[in-house]
Amino acid sequence: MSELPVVQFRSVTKAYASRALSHVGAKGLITSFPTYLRQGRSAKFVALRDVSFDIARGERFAVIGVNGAGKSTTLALIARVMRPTSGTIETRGHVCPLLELGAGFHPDLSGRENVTLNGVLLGMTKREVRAKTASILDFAGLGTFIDEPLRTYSAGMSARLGFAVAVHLDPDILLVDEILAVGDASFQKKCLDRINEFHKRGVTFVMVSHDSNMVRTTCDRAVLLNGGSVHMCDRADRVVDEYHRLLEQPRVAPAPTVEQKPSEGKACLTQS
Amino acid sequence: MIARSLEYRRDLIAALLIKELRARYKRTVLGYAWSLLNPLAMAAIYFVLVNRIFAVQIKNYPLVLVAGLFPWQWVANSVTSSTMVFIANAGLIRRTSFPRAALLVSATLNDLVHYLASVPVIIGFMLWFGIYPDARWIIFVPLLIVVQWAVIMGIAFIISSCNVFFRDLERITTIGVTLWFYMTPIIYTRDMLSGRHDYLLIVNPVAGVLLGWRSLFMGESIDLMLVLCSAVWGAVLLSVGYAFYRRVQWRFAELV
Repeated sequence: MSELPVVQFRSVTKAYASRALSHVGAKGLITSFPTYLRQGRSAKFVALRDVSFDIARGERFAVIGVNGAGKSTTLALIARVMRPTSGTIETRGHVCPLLELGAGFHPDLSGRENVTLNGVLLGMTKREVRAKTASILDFAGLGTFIDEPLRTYSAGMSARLGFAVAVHLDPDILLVDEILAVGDASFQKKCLDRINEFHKRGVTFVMVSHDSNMVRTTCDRAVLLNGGSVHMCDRADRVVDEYHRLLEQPRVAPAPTVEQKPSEGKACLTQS
Repeated sequence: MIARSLEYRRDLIAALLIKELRARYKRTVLGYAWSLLNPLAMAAIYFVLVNRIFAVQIKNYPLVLVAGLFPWQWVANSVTSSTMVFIANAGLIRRTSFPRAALLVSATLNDLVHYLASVPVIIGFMLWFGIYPDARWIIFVPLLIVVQWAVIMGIAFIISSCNVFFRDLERITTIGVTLWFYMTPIIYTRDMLSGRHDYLLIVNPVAGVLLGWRSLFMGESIDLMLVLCSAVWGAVLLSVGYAFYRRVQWRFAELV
């Protein structure tokens, strides 16, 4: 642990501007425009509040918490698709996000065509994808379905394909958002084997999951987010225990706060 | 590193372009023919309306129409579809950090491919009216493509980025494109502006380039000043549009 952490959150706060203007409609726009100009820009939904934690090289790290606790925002910040409102995030190495089911896949293209598209979207050149295609297809194990359009696939099959591409990206840090839940038992085992193999090679693995058993058995450490703040960051099994304790207490995890509600109350929550 | 980065950008645009090309008409019976039938149907409608009902006589009017409508389709399709480019790819933008501009480049190139695929139809009309492609094509086809693409990309950068923040822009664009269509000499000729409205050709970024295409297809001399005017518009719009996109693109992931 003397090495520098590969992911470092320092007092990270992420606030989303609530899109008040687009929710009020034309009538509201006229009546509330002066208010909007005065206050609208400060109407914020705070997804993460003063979050700090480190992830060390080679760690298998889980982010857990109830819906809306800020898990997906955390992953998006690590992947650098968003910038924090305040605080700093440092990452060392090639971060590779595993796409949400179906995102980046086109339903009318075949599995094989989607592998190329997905690989390129995730940062490989065509040449690099081509060199790995055989291995990717072998890992996905979809047989003759690989040349069928993706819309004929089950959710589990697209997940297999997505995971197969992601594990061939040579990431230093692999981000996985709730994706392993859909594969069947044998594919899950294959994924876990691959995660362990990555672990041996020193790849850092960050996952969001609701599957307590999976977190307990595959992860070294975990952070528990509650209402956008760090509730606990410790060994995975202890954090899972605390999560369950938290869930059993009624109303301990309140709905995320929206400071200054937009008039229709639709805060832009991150999906998780 | 720079070589790999360039190779990557090329591959990204190509992969997205191939996806667009393969996916657009995949589940329709007539497929690619739709990209021809649309402007042809419009040409037929305007021909009947102007030539038969209004009885306005314009020389070689069917050729005038196709030589204007086909390149216009590229403008209209790209500008209209660019409003939705980032929103339609929300899942990708929220999860990955690839350069978002690639989505716009591939979308506009997709419409360019469809335009180029329709050029044989224009040539068919030319031959019907006894006009043949000439040596100028070697210079002017690439030149006009570059100029038109610069104008389209500049506008696409601006409206696609704005639409992420202000979704009403999509509807406004639909109306705007219709207005723009009638303000451009497509269903009428330049002469019909009768000199009094020539400023319209200068303030309209695509007028010069579209008149350039038409002159080229009709074997007439090309007004280079107007093409230059479009080129200046293209350079300005592209720089302003790209600068604007660069400033706001980091917020796309949280707004799409």
